[in-house]
Amino acid sequence: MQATSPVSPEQSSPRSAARYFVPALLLFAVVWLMPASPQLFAPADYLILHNFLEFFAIAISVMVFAYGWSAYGASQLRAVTVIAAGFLAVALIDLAHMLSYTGMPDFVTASSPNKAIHFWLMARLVAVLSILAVVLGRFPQRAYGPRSRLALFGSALVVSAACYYLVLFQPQLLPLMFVPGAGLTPLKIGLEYALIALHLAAMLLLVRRPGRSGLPGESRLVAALGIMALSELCFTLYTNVHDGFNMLGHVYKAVAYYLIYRSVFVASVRLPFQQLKASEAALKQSEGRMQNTLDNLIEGCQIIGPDWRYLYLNRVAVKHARLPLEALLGRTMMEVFPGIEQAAIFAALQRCMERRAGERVETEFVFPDGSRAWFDLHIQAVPEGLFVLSSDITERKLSEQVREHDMRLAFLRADVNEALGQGKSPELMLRRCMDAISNYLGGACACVWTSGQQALELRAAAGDCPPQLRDRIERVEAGEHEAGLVAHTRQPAVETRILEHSGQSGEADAFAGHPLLIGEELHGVMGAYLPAALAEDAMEAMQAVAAGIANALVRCKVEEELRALNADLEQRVAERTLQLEAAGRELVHKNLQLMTANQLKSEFLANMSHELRTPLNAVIGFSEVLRDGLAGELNPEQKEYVTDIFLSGEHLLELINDILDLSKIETGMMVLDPEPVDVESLLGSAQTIIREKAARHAIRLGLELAPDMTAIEADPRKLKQILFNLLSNAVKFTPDGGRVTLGARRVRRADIRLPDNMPGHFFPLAQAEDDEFLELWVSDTGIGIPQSRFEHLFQPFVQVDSSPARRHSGTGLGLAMIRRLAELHGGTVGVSSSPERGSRFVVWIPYRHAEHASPRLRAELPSAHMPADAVRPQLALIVEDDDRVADAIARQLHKEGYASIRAATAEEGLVRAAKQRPRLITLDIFLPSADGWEFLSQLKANPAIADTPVVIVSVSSDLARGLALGATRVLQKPFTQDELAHALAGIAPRRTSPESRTVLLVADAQHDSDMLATRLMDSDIEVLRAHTGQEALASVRRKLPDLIVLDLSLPGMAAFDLAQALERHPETASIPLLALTGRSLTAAERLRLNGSLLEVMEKASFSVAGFAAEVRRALNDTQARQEDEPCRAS
Amino acid sequence: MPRILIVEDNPINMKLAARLLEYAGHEVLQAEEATAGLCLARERQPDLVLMDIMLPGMDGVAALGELRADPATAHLKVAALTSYAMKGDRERLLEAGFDGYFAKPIRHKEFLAGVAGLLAGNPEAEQGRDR
Repeated sequence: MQATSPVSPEQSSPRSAARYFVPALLLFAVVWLMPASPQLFAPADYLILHNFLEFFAIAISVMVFAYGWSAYGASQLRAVTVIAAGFLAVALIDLAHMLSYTGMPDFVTASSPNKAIHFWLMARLVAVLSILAVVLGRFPQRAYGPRSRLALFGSALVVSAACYYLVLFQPQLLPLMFVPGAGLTPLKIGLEYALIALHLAAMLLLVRRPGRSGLPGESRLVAALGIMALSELCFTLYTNVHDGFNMLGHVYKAVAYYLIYRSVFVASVRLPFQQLKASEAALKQSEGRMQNTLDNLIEGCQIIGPDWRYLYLNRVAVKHARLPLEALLGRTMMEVFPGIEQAAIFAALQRCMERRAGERVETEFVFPDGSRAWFDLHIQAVPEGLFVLSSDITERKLSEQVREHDMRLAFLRADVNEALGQGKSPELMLRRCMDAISNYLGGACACVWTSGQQALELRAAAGDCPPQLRDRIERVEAGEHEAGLVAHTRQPAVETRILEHSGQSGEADAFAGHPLLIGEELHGVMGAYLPAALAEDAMEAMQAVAAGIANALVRCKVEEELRALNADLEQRVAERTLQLEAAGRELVHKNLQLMTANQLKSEFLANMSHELRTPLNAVIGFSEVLRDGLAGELNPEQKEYVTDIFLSGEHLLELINDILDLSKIETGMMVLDPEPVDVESLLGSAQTIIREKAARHAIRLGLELAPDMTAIEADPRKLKQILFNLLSNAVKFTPDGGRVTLGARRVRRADIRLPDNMPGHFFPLAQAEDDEFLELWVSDTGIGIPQSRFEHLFQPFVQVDSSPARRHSGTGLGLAMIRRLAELHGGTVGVSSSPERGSRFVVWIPYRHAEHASPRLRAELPSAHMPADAVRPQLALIVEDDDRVADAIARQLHKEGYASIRAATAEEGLVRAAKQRPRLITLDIFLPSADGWEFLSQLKANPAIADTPVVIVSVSSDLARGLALGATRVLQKPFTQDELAHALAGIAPRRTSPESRTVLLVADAQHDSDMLATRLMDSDIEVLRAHTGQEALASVRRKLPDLIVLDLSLPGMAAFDLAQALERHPETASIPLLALTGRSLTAAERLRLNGSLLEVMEKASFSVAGFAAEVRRALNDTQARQEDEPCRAS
Repeated sequence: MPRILIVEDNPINMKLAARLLEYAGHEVLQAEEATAGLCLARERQPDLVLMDIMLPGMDGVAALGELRADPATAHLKVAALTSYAMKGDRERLLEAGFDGYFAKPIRHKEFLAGVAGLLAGNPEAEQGRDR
């Protein structure tokens, strides 16, 4: 016998057997140990209990039999059948045992203990023997045949019958088992022991060699055997049939039988059911996989039943059929595609269906709507009908056809060209052309006729011309037959079934003809007789050949005529040719001249630039020399005139540059040099240039920058030029106290327009792909421009006021330049203005996003954007009476890492500064009562807060006064983030470095030096002192000062030598010098100090307070410059 | 005292350059045409030659070629001092072999700073705004 069935989930193991057996053993022990328990029930009660337990056991035995009898298929194990047969007998014998029990009514003979015991022992014997048979028999795991099954169950009936017979009718043959009054006989007890031994033997066999029985759930069988052994033990122990051991024995028996029933049930019902379910699931899964595979095949896949019904189609097959799946499934091919029986595809399917064979075909299929497709089909007969794999090869087929046609066409062209080019006799030419056409059409009959007086004359024919066509070909009267019709209509024509009406038909049943036309003149007809009408592309090819032939025919004619012309004419032609050639040469020459003209123009520009600069060099150079006092001091009037000359020279130079720029644009020599441009910094720097000039005229500068600006790709120099020109124009034409605003925003192409509130004009934008534009505008509150001037405004040398005494200087080229530069970028310009309300100039530049922000631009922004101690926001005090301005400043400061508090008046500001000790103060000058200057003075007077850096933020740009009063920086409103960043960058190190700054004071006169040093020591400046140049150098070597104050009145040339010595070393060359002098300096002296000279203070106009302020300012500037330096170098 | 040779045919512009250099304490040699300039350069070995480009006869670029060809003058520093101030002129002249470039009209501060830079051997010292 093999191991247990591999699918069995219930492995037999001693442990699971013990699960049942050990409780039984414990129960036994309990009953054993109960001291006085034998008499548990009254005899009358006991009978009912006994019958109940027996009946239970019988019922179970019957069920075991029933399962064994009706087990099905693979679960019909031989072991099960044997046990079932055994238990049939057990059930029958036990029934007799129950009926014979003491107290039961007579069953054939009178009931008695002996009778019951005989049945009992027989039943036990049969049961244990049937199990032993299973354990020892090693039955193979397969079923008995029906006969063996019947024989087995039959023998069970025979055994039962034998037992009945013996006990009921031959009781004298059986030994005595029970003696009333004396109890069980030793024989009975001995037999019980024998039964125990049999049970234990079977059990041990199973425990030692699990799987022997071949039954799934064998552990139950093991437990059942053990419990049966216990049961038998109980029956050796009782003294009275009513006592506890007897009852326990019956209980054990019922339990054991129940376990046997379970094992048979598991083997014959549960396991087979589970196996069935598992195999069903596996089947489903594999079916699903199959379906999935078919569905996702790149080929179409369909199964067609023997009745031509579609049984299955995958997605691709449905696509191939060009119908929804519902329209296909379950319907026959003839229903779906009427007339399919005639198609080649059906013939192939039919062959396969009939021969039950496979086939592969490539076939064209015509759909009901007339469209065609080529399919590659693998057909295979399968039990269900036909299995068809299909691929759509239409594209391949078409391209094959096209290729083939192309090749034939290429041959046709080559042949015809060769024929037309041979130029000998027209006959030969025509013959060869017809050969070519015939070849092209697969050997069809090709003919060509030329127009005669009345009829068409056959000139050449090629290919297979059937005899029945002969009379239609050889001579064609006008309007007669196909060729005559073509000649008549002068149109290409296709005729079919030409021979039908004459009763003849054959290979050549269609005609395709083309007229040989040159303009309106007909020279003949070309045609081909074919089996079927020609396709369009073939007709076109023939048309081309016809045109070629017509041309060649004309040429032949012309050649003949030419030959007829006399020599004189030939000569005249030759003369004309010569004339033409000469004219051609002249043209080439002129072209060359034109080309050089442009070059000459640019050379002219270069020369003009050179020639104008040469005299200007002297004008500007000398006037500057005079103005700067290099040739001696001038009196004020002289200085004024010289300055006028210098400025005029500058103006002239500007003009020249503008003219050159304009000319360069006009001649196309100006090229853009695009790079990423940060719009905000661009606007800021453009404004910075104009700021001083605006301040001189008290013109407020505004900035309106839309927030969504990024870097754009443009030429920054040209943009700056545009903005500078616009801003300086605006400032120029705005009266003092006015306002100039610079703005930028992004607009869509469709939104490019001027504001509606004023008359305006703008130049239409050239068509281009750019959709988004940067709109830059400058508006002023100036004198405005009359509407009539708008258009001329952007032309060179036009100013609004063109009278000779015009008030406003300017080259008049600025706006023209702006327009050209904008157009060069792909943008345009516009203006709107009214004389009262001022003007607004707008420039649109394509908004092309820069790939990356310019490293240069980023480098220009100092690290102030990320202050070193940015972790903890620092406190800034904003002294400003205008709420909106204060908010704006607060926002900008926030970006630089400052938290801000606010004071609306100078008084409040002083209180808050003293109380909250801000790290920075921004100060407006125009405040309600006490003004900013007052605030500054009082701030400096309070030693506790005197050192707080103050940034003056004002429309006033009185730099000197602010700095003199101790402000650290002066910013003019409005200012950009960058400007603020720069201003704060100058302050930052002072905040962060605890080191005080060092000033080296080099002065000879002891008392001067003392006084100055005392003054400086009031602040946080460390003052080093030196009295000679040598001392100064030594001091510098010890420690580099931040500033050197140098008294030029040192003996001899000591001060100048010192300055030059400092300049020779790179590390000392950058130390700024503040020179003190009692007299005016000569030009040479100024030049010698030029390198790092910061300022010359003349002692005549000298005040100690002013000196201290100047030193402080110089130090701050130095610091700012040192921070700028690395950026500039990059 | 550094010695500087100016080759310049326009007498007024010559005067301007010469004065400025003299103010700055340089010794100035003057030549109104290229051949005379070559001669002076050979004999007096100036620390710097300032060469106009548009000169009568031999032009400044040709003169530079002569200076470089002659072993006696090949090592001299030569800067262009020219009214050729269009875009690209500076690059063209530096490529031709000039050590520096000054565009007219000159501004004294930039000019003298540039000259000082060249004399100090700073190869990148040059000035002039190109248009």
